[in-house]
This record gives sequence, structure tokens and C-alpha cells, in this order.
Amino acid sequence: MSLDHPKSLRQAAEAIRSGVISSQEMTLAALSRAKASRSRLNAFIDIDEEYALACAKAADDMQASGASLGPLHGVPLAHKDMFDAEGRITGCGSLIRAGHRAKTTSTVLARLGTAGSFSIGRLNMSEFAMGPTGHNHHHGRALNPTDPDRITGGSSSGSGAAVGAGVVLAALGSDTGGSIRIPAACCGTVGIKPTQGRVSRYGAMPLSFSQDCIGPLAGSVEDAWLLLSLISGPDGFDPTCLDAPLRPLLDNIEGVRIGLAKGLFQQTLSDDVGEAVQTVGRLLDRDGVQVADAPFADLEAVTELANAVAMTEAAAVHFDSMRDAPDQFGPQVRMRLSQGLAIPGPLYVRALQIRSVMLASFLEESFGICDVLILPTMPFIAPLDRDVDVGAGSRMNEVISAMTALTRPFSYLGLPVVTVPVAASREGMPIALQLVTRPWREDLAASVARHLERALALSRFTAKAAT
Amino acid sequence: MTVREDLAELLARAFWSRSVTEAERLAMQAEIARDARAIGTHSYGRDGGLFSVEPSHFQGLMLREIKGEP
Repeated sequence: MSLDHPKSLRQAAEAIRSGVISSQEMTLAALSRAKASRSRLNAFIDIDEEYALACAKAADDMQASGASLGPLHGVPLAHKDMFDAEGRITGCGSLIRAGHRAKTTSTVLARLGTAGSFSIGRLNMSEFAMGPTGHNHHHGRALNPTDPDRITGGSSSGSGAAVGAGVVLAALGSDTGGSIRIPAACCGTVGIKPTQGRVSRYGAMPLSFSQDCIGPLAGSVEDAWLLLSLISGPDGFDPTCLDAPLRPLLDNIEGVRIGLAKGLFQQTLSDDVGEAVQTVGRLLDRDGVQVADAPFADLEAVTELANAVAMTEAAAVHFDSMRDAPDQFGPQVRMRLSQGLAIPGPLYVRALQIRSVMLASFLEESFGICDVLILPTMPFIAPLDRDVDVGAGSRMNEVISAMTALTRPFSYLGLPVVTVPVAASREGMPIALQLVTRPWREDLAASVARHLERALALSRFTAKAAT
Repeated sequence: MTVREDLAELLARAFWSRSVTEAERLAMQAEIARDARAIGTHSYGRDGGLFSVEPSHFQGLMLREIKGEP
């Protein structure tokens, strides 16, 4: 472990706590990496050196005073540009809110602050979190740490790039149709999309109320789990956030029943991705875990259903701006928001009705015989930028649908998902799998993900590739 | 199916007090066509399958899962 560049959140916090390194030293190193990465990654919309160093000094002073310290005391992180911090700017990757100064602090940032962490800057993202490729008309795209000609995925593009390259150890993102999982998969990090309602969205930018989730991207399952445990649970501000305590991770997963969810994807995978699924299945089987092909509930039209819900709700969020200042949106976001006006109320409600029935069916049929479903996070590796930089062109829906084909169903159904890198493609790009469980059982998915991570020794995938 | 070309313009005029761009018009027409096909005719609606289903049943299922009830 490098003193100023620890490999995990626990190592970082322990190094500060034990006095091996100060928060200010660790923060200076993180700032140096962040600044050096700007032309290589474009992961940051803003780096706030003065604020970060002030926080670090306060952390060191607090430690010197003998005060009790949180689990992330003095550890610098950075987060997607969509979480309010009182008196500071939350730009949402947009032009319209580029100067928006928050009046309150989001629950997730408040909780990480209580744990002792602070942010060194705001990470790039798709404008208003709309866009699975990670392109941003106003700020440019973040670059993939393994291959800059390839996309980071989105919408948490900067979170994927910054964590994947090891600029910061972890970052918060948001996921409405794959926005944590896709950049995590493209950039070789772990990502957790929690159960709908596990993490308070108070003070976070809305996209689609019915599907928005906040969660971590990190270099390992342990780190992602630590962040999730810190931000979970009701806060009294977001009434949709429920009290369902996280259960601890399992050291032994032998009793967990694994289902390979072939039904959803068998026709669509690239060869490398298909091989990775089979390899993981054999590995789990070798390790004594019960693995079977899982029956898959019929997810008829799930992409259109999820999109209709998301675009209707997004069009409501941005209704006034689409009327009064449409030119301030990037072309693709404007085009997608316009779709929301074309969805009649009964169709929107019908999509929500179907969600209830489909969830009940899915819980019974798919989780009747297994505890964790495994499938790829994406059907292919991170695409080349030139193949998916479609803006508002005629291929927009085709590209968005392909990128989110395997992630959207679980956003629509509100289920928790952990994505973990499990292999490298022939091009050296990460290949990731999703582990899906019943609502509130993130512990099962994360336990299996940690088992895979250890067995495959692929944690911090791109950090290794980039150094 | 064919969606009337002026439908998007009518919606935008009514609710946004402005015209649509060509990209917006095409996007809205395509959305209507997709949703009519995929959601309007979804099999879950057959034989009154959605007649008494409320969207809030989703939250009910999620709450039931917290309690670990089957």
C-alpha cells in the first residue's frame, strides 16, 4: 500500500486513524491525481482544492483533539454532480442548473460527512443523468480508463472513470435504468444499485421518481458495501425510504442457490461475455454452490415499460424548462424529454400497473428456486465512442435500448443488483456480471460478488490496467 | 402504425406554448408508435387482468418483502 494511495477505504481510514498519514497528505495526493487525470479522463466537472484541503485540515485537527472518529474519517472521495451540499453548486451535468447553489445538504452526503469523509470535486455525468453512454453535450464525455477510445458508460460516467482509474477509492452514483451498473461495468469497478427505497433521495437530483436509486461505485465489494451501509436507511425527509436494515455479508455462500438467467439474454451476448457467464457458472459449481438455469418470468415489453415511466416522470421534472428554455438542453436530452409529452396519462398508469403484476410474477417464478440471479451487466464490452456517439440522431433509441437491455428490467422491478467485473475481453476490457436478488437482500448478491472477486482476483480491474 | 404528423405540434403548442423541432416531432411520433404497440396491447391487460391493479401494489409488495413474508 502506498501511504498516500491506499487500496481500500478501510486501509485509508486506518492509515489516517493510526497516524501513518494525515488527511491533508492523503487529500493532496488525491487532488494531484484528480488534476493530473483531467486531460486523460475528464472525470471531474469541478475540482475544489480549497474546500477539500479545508475539510482535510478540519479532520486532522479533530483527530488531534481526541474526538471520536467516523469510519471514513479524513478520507477524500468525489461524487456525481447531483447531490446537494448546502451553499455549494450542484450542476447535474447541465447548463440549466450549472450555477445552482444548494440550500440544504443531501442525506447521502450528510451521512458520508458524519462518517468523516468529504468530497474533492464534482464528477462528470450525463446531463440530468439521462444517457447510458455517458456523453455530455456541455462538459464532454469522460474517457474510459482502460481505453480512451471507448465510452465510460453512463450516466455516472465520472464516477466510473475516477474510481476505475484509482483517482478516488469510491464515489456515489445514481441508477434509474443502469446508470451505476453500466459505468461500473465499462470501467471495471464494483457497483451497487440498491433496492428501490433503501437509500434516501433527499437532496438528490430527480430523474424518475419510481426508479431512481443512489448507490456506490468502488474498487471492491467490501468498499462498495461499506459505502452502502453508511448511506442506507430512513432519514425523516424522504418518505419513500424504508426501514430495512442491511444484513451482514456471508463468509460462506455454499447454501446460496444461484440461477443463471439465460432466458433474458441468450440471443444477445458477444462471445467474450457469453464465455464469462459460463466460466463463472463453472467456478461456482466447483466451489460447491448450487447453480442451475433459472426460469425467467416473462418480461414482455419491459424496456418500453421502463422507458415510458422514466420519460413521463422526467418530462414532469423538466416541464417548465422544456417550455421556457428548451435550447439549454443538449440535443439528445431535449429529444428524450419531448418523448415524455407524447405518453398519455393512461399509458403511464398502465405501465405502473403492469410493474406491480410483473414484480409479483418475477418474485414467484424467478426467485422461487434460486436466491441470486446472475446475468451480464451489458451484452457487450464498453463500445467505441464513434459507434455510440449518436446525439439526437435516428439511432438514439437503438443505442440506448442496446446499452440498457439487461439493466433496465431490474430498475423497473425495483430489485437490488450488484455488478462486479469477472473477466477481461480479448481487447483487455472488463466484462461484468450482475447479481440480482429479492428486494432488500443486497447481502446475498454482495456475498456472491465478493466470492467471485476473491476467486477471480479481479478487483480493481482497471486501476491495475491503468498503472 | 402511422402517427399523425401534426400530433406532436398540437401537444407542444397546447402544453409548452411553442412549436416542436423536427427532432422532437420524430421522437414523439416514434414514442407513440412504440407505446401503442408494446404497452397499449400488453398481454397483462387481457381479460381484465389490470382492472383492479393499483400502481401502489408495487409498494405493498416491497413492504411485504421487508417482513420476509412469502
